[in-house]
Amino acid sequence: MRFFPHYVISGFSNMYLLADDESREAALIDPGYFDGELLKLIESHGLTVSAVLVTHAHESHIAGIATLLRIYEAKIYSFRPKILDYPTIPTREGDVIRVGKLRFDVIETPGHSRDSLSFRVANLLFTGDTLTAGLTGTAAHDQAHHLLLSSIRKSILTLPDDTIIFPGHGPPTRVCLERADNAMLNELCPRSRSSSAFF
Amino acid sequence: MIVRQSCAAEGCGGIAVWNSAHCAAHLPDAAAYLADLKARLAGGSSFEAVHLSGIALEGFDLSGKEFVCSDWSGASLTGCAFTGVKFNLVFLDRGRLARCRFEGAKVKWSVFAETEITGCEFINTDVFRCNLNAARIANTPFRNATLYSTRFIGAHFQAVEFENCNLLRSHFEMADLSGARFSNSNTEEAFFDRERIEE
Ligand SMILES: [Zn+2]
Repeated sequence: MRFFPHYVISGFSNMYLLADDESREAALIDPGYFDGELLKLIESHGLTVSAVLVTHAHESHIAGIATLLRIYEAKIYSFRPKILDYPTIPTREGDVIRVGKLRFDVIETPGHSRDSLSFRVANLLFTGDTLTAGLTGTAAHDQAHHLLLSSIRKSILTLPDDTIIFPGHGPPTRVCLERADNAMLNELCPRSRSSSAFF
Repeated sequence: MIVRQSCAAEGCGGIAVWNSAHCAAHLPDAAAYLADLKARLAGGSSFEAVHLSGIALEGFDLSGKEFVCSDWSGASLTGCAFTGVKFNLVFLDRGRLARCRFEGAKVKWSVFAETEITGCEFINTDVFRCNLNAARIANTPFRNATLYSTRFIGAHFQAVEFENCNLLRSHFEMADLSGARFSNSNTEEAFFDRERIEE
């Protein structure tokens, strides 16, 4: 497996390119932007993007999809049936997405948004805005915040300790580190507020 | 990080260190391994998947080397030189760094969470999108360092000076800052208060 994190300065977000060594097929997680630098990264490794995996449909995680689809014939995997008017393959808990020999397991992690998904491949977990290093995602209201914490506890903190988390914002982390140190997982810790609607 | 092998010792769940079938704790001849490791590292400039979890290195000069996708969690590095080193996706969480110099180093997408960092120097160092959450940092200057998008959430500082540092989008929420001093650094562009979290 080839793996490249890529920083999107416009939304301060992360996108991740993962490719199968043999087929050179690649998946792009959360293309928040599509620029020449990313195209160069893809092409210089002889890769073809065949899948776009969307952790949630907020602007800073999807804005690059239109440009990407003008270059690559990629399928979009999302909780939502449509992203920016493009039809998707609606994706749910337990689904498996195959990109070449790579296998992504889909985990529903609602809370930051109703459509939040996490994707797991080998010992790597892509959490979008659900859980980032030392923080939890924002939530639009208290029920959403409870749902967010419950998603994290049920579906992320139960993964093996050394699972590496690559979030939608900020640096990577590990499951054991978040379990031990993330003070925002404490129910008594007030939620981070978000102005965006709870989808 | 991506491809790791388990230790060959029966019942051990540890990760085998680079070029060995065993984890750091089960090396048949640790002294011979370290001598061989030193020679191998001296003989190259760019290394990928050099897993050194739990290893103890003293007095290694790794200046100018490049390390990518390497798991060094729990490693203990004493008196090592990392001048001008490049780290990309290096995981040195829950480890120990004592008297190590990172002058001119470029460190990105790396994790030093829960690591004890004592008597080190980060001078003219780029630390981009790194995770130093819950790290315990003492007697360590950060001078002319770029800490863009790096997180020190819940970290503990003792006699740590940030002098002329770029703190844009760096995070210090819930950190014990009583032993930290900031001078000529853009603290107004960092996150200190949980209420200011916007990502
Ligand atoms: Zn072992």
